[in-house]
Amino acid sequence: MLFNSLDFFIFLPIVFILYWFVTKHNLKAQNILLLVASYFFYACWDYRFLFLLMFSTFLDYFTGLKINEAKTPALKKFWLWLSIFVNLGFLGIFKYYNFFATSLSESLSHLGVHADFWTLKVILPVGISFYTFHGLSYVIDIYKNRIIPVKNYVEYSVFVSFFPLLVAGPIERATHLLPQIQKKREFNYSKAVDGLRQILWGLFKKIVIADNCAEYANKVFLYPADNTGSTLVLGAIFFAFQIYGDFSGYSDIALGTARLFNIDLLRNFAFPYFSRDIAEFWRRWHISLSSWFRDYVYIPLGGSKGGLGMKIRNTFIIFLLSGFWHGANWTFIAWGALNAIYFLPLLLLRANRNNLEIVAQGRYLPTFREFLNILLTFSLTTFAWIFFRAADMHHAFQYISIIFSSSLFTIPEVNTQTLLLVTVFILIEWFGRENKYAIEDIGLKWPRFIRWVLYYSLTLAIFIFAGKEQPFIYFQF
Amino acid sequence: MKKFIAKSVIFIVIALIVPIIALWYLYVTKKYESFVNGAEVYTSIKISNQKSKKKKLLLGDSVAKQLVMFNKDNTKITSLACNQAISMVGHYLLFKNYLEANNKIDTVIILINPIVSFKNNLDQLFTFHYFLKPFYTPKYKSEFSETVNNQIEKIPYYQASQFPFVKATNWSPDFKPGSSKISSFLSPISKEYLLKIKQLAEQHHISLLIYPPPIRKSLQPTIDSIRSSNANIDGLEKEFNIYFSKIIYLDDKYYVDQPHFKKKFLLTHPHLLSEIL
Repeated sequence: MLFNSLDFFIFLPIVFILYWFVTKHNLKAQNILLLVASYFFYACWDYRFLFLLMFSTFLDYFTGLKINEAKTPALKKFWLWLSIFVNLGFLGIFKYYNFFATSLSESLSHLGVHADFWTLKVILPVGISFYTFHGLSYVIDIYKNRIIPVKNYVEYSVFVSFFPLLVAGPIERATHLLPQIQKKREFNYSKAVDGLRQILWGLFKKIVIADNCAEYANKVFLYPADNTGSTLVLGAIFFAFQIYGDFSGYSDIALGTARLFNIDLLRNFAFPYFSRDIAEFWRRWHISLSSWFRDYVYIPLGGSKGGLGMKIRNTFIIFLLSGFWHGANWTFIAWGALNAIYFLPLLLLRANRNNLEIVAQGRYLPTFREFLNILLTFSLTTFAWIFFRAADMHHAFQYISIIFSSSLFTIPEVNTQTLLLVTVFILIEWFGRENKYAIEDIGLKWPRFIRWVLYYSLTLAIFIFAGKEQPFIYFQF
Repeated sequence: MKKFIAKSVIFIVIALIVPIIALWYLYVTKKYESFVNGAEVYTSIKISNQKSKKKKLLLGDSVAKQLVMFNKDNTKITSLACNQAISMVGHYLLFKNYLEANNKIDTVIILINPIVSFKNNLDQLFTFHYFLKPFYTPKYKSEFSETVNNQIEKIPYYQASQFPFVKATNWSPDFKPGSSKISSFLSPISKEYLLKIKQLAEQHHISLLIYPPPIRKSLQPTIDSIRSSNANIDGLEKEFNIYFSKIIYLDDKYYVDQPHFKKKFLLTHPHLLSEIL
């Protein structure tokens, strides 16, 4: 059930009405309804993997309780590692086993050893990377005494499976989401209206921006050799907007949907393409994943506190892991490594926290220097996206080699409509960059009639400029 | 809560009414024909109903359309070339339309790619947009054979193809192409309607020519294999002998994808169509 499908637009109002009219006086009933709705939502993808989700939920709930009850540090550690081992084991089997098997087989064949490893022919359970990380953060937080385990199994299950975040995040923390699930929710009018506004903006990003950019990017990436360098550059730029519109659009719909139930999810994007350096970009892109790696991997490894060697090692570990989290392909690892290389100079020069505030805050335009920094950062990230999008390393290098040829200086084949849509999108995002999402407060002080004209314009744009429907990119992770 | 639901319902109702009015307007005025997926098919249908003094008629796929667009010679030919997704049934209907508009021609040429276009058995991703929406109408339905009707019935929501809000938008069902494997070269429906085109041409004393566009060099082995396994096609032996003998190969660098040319190449080769014909 896609967020941009008719099924979801029937499902959501039904759950909303049941939630606020039938179960509104009873927290337990509210949570049971959310859990049933979430399992139904997940089963629409593939009901067989629902059992995996249920098992993973039970495992973390159970080990969480056991860690808390354990009398000795060794026993605590045992339960922690059991949870980590089983969770990562499932992730490893479904997501990474084939990659390791084929990579090892290829490496051995280079050495003249023929080894044909058995490979799995299964599809990746949707959302496994996300709910595995939910569960892991919960268990680790209990082990570190940051939280106490939840006794109510339904509450914990809703934390893991709440349908807006189940298949593509944001990756929630128990400290943030569980308290909201444990207390009775009352209907909040302004929050619900804000949620609808955020859903509308998310749909616009996905259906108008991402899907239109995808048509151009897919065509260009499919046959790079048939295009000029300049067209490939434009293809990479359109892919940058495709993935941003796709994933941040999804996140907006998820956050907006959760707000309809008076639940706040973690922010996942903060206008990353207006970043002035790579460190700022990573504070603004897929925030819930970056902060997860920071808190559960980077800091435990020593963070940036140690010597030069440790700083470099930790930076590479975190970026490579981040790349690998996206998928079992060398292209994702190369993407992670490239970002580590971009990030390292800032870390070594202690310049990684230079740009903490919003760019050009209180001003209409950035300074020339800010503009150049934004342009440079965008160029670097777009270059890295080539690896992310490519089918394999050969494809990526082929794409890049054509870019850096004489045909770079030719006029690219332009899709004027998509270019225009992206330009309008950048302008709206720029003027709304001080908000949680671009149209959060645009028009709030206008007369209602004009404000509604804005919302109808966006709705009509979704109907008129809808690109060919593409699956959400992050569902595959 | 009540205020929220009331406002949401009002918003959704208006949000539905505005597009409904807009779509109804587009449908009644037929303005949708210029921007929906498959717009070029409506253009071809329009031309097929018009009177022309030209003596040659060109039917064909998107490659043929490309060649016509960039052609600078006065070829004295009416082009109804649009897209292979209309299938051979669509080409037949355009040809029949053209004759029913009292156009007198001596030659009909079908310019069509050997790898993609003949395979069409009304089983493609774009069949709904390019064939059902423009042709599944009372005017044309009587021309459909049993095979065509059986194939159409396999397409989900095929009956909805003529609904105003389907026709005037880019909506189509999630139809996964699958049965293209039915033939590696000429689908049953393509063969049936090629024979119908031939028959219609003979009735009107019109010569039928089936020509290929230039093909990318790297596909030569594929074409050779197609040719050897399709040496004799019942009732169309002569046409396909000429067809395969006329294939010329060009360097892959001139193509933007498997069948289509790069714009730059076509701009510098404005006589390509005349050379093919």
